[in-house]
Amino acid sequence: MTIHSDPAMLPRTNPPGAGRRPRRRHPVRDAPAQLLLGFRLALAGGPTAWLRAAMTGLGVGLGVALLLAAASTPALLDARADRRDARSWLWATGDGQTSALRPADATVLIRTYSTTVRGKDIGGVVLRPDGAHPPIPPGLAAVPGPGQMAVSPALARLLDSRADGPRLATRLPYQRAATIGPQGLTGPNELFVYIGAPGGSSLRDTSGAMGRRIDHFGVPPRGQPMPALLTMLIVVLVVVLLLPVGAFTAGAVRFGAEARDRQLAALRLLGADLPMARRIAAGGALAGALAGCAVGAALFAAGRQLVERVTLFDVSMFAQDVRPDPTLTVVVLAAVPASAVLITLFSLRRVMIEPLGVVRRAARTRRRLWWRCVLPVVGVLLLLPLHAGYVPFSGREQAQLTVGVLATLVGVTVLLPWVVDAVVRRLGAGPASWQLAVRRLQLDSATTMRAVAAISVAVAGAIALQMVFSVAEDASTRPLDGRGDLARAMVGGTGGGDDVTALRGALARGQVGPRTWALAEGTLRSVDRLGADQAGEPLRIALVVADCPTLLRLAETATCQDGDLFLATPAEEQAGGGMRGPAPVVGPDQLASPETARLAAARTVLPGPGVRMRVEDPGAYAADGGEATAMPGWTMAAGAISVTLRTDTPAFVGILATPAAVPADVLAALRPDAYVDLDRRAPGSLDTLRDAVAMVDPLATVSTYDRVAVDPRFAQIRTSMYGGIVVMLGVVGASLLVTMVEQLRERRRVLAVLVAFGTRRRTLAASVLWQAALPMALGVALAIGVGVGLGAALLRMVGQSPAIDWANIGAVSATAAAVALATTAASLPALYRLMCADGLRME
Amino acid sequence: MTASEPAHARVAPAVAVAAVAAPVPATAGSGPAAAGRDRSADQVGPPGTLLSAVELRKRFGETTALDGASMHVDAGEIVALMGPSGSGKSTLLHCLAGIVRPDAGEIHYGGHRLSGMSEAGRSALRRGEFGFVFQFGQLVPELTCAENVALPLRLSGVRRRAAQARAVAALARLGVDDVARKRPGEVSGGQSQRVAVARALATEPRVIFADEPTGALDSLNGEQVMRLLTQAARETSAAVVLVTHDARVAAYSDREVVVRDGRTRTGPA
Repeated sequence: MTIHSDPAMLPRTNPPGAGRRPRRRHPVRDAPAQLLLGFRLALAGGPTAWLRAAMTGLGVGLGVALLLAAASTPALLDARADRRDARSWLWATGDGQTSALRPADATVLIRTYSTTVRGKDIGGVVLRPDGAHPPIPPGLAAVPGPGQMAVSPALARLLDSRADGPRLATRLPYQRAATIGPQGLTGPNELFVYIGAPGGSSLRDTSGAMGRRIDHFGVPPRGQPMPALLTMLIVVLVVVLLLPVGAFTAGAVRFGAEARDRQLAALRLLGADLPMARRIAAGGALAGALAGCAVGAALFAAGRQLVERVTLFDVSMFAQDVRPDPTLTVVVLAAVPASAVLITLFSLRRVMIEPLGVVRRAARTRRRLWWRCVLPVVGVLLLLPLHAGYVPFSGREQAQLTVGVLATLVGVTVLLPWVVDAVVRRLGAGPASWQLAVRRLQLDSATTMRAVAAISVAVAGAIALQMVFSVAEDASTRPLDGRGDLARAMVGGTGGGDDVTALRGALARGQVGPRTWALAEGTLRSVDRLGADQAGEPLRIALVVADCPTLLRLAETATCQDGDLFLATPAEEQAGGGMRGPAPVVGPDQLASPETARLAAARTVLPGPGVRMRVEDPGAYAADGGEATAMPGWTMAAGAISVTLRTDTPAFVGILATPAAVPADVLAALRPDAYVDLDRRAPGSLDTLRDAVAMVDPLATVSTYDRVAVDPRFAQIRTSMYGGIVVMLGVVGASLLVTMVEQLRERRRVLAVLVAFGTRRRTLAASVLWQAALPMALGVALAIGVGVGLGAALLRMVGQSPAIDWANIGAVSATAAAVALATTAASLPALYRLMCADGLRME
Repeated sequence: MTASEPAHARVAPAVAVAAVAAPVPATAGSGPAAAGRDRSADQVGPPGTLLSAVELRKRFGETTALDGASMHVDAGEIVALMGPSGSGKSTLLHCLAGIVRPDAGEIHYGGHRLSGMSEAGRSALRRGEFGFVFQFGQLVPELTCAENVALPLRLSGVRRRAAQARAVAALARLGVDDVARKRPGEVSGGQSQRVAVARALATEPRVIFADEPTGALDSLNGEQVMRLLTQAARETSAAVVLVTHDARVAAYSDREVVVRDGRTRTGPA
């Protein structure tokens, strides 16, 4: 027997390493390996796993692409604004009524030009250089010569088109001399023109101003802080567009949750503890999110190339303008994977992952309502104290606005599960398809609700914005005064008052509308000023010169001869007494009276015989930088007849005269204008009017009282809203489709069993439809309530009473419902493919 | 049963009883296709054959699942399909049940040529004449156990209340009426499989197809399920086609058919 005192010499009876204590696990040190394992497991499993990963990547990728597009908005808006500012000139002079600059070799007379062809707005500028070296607009090598024009590429295509080319050629009868380059346009599909004013034409516009004289382009507007109203609209719009994207991206991260749970159960069987299993699950989520980031970047890059082909509501974009802000890009690409991990960990809180492949969920607790109401209520309470006028918000108010809107709209996503639960819990009886759908929703409505929540937020936000825009539009639009189907248009000619005959003839030949009034009009001011010491304002009065047939339709007078002169007052003033009585007529010796000055400040005062008047409109004289004293004058004659203006006509309180009653130079100094009542039911009636006017005066302006005179920023926001909501609903619809297809794939085996039992195709198809339609209907109903509440709060901020436009609400809701139904129908082919016995095979 | 239920739900047990009392050719009086024809050409197997398959072939991609399998099942008979894993047992069962259409061969059921039927026709047959038990139960997870059992009845046109009552009765017969209101995820594997058996029996089918019905159960539960299945089948004179690789399960059958490499060989009764 050998005795060994050295333990190392003792024969081993156990394998090496046996009896050693297991290596201590260190969560932090082991986490990367576990995340990597989860990453690899997400892609293991052959085509099925790859397909699932691809669907997750596509879902997340769509969200990332949209977020990158949103991150490009600042650069896009800046680039458009820079190019718009580079060609702007409106702020080059002071008041715009008289030129601050004298004509010189490097100056140019300029005014705006606009027309509309079949709903397409064409903007532009009319130019008349004073010398040989005028300022050149961006995008051009030279100013177009007299009778020439430079057009944008899109306008060139329109002029060459069969549909609109001939009509547009009538309105732009100028020689095409050049094409405007990209640096002179806000977008590639902008319709813009520079017109060299034909010889002898005037640059008068509708305001009576003789255009402006500038010596350079690129005078940006004076820095004006954004009015609170616009800030409010932008904040709501951004939240409405981005919140559904976030909800949709969060939903995409959860694709394939059941397959993941089965994997985790297998890992638990092999010895993984719960924290380890959760880290592995997070790694799997990371795989999908990183794939999504790559897909999103690729989608964004591809979409960027196509952006120039798209024009949404007259707005187009250059591809090079679509540049995501670097900081926001980093935030997006970091936030998406981080969110994926957090969402996955959060979703595992109710899952008990047990060995032996059994995965049971924690018992469903009934959802509580009280805390879900807190968010929307707090949101609205934050908004109510704010007032959004033209004074900019302070930083605190802006933050309060943003949080309030966010909380209200996020409240939709928080309330929706309770609403669906509360309703669905009470359902049950019905045909087999209904029962399958209801029970599915009772067991697990979370997946469908995630996609529905995104649509609901969009609908709520769209309804709120629609309410605000509708009221804002009404506020800036002149009421129709009960004219029913008639819309009133105004024509502002560029010639002199003696051109009105040609204009009248063109309107008659064009048969433009049921009623027209062609007349020469302008403003007269007294030579002598009101009040003592001649220190006050002059007496100002409107002058209208028209033929007798026109005057007889303007005023209530039984007779009219050429040479007659009338003093017109509205009917309601004629009938009333005191200050509302007939307009007083003052003589030349009354002008200096303080009483006259006070009266003139309170109401219209008419000049009596002997009062010396002068045309106030610049006319042709100011084109050469002439002095106002060169304006033609006129002494009021005796024998003017007092008349009452007819109702529902262009109202002119002042002097109505026949041509023979005024001097020729006074008539020539007036503007040839026309007022036309169009039949709004007749398609293209405004285009017909424009065509008729263009035959005699291509540079005349035609506008309607129904057009909204808005801040251009307001119009841009509205355009962005409609375009954004259309795009976002489409993307959310795509996510709903992917979600439904993924759900069907997860239930492949159950579907196969149902097929084995002889379930009809239409039964399962109806079940899929009910499963989407029920949460969608509830989501839209909730969105209407929240949207109207948010809209009312926003309107209160702008001092308006809530006005609910049910037609708009119906349209937005119907669009969302149609998106949901369309995507459901699009999932039916996948359903039919999965309705086969292959799901029963274990191999 | 109530007068409002469809007629075929009342026909099934009467036909099954007649089949047990006096073996008759399966094609007798069973459809216009059989009238005026030489019945011997239609029958595979001895008189009394309810379901027959001749020279079935089926491929899944490169894999040959069936390569000339033939067999028959008599009314009220319990037949076990045995064979190693991957031999084609389940595929043969799916073909017999009309779930999968074979690439070649003929299947006849009750005088009708099953292999030539449209999907709608086979689907109708599965609704009214067949019942199914799968290895893992394959209950619809969002329905309660009672609703799972009632589902085939509802698909056949039985009204909800009547279907629910019959479902509860079926669960009681199998000793699992206490889980009627629970969802499949809340019950044990043995209970889940008994619910699946109750579902298969609910429409009182003429043929029950069971694919490894005890494969996921322990021996005690497995024996319980087999006992209840075969007992209920004999009570209603339903035939049972049973796929298993377990000899103890096969012992419940009247006859074994061995399936190997996609072909069949009838084993000892």
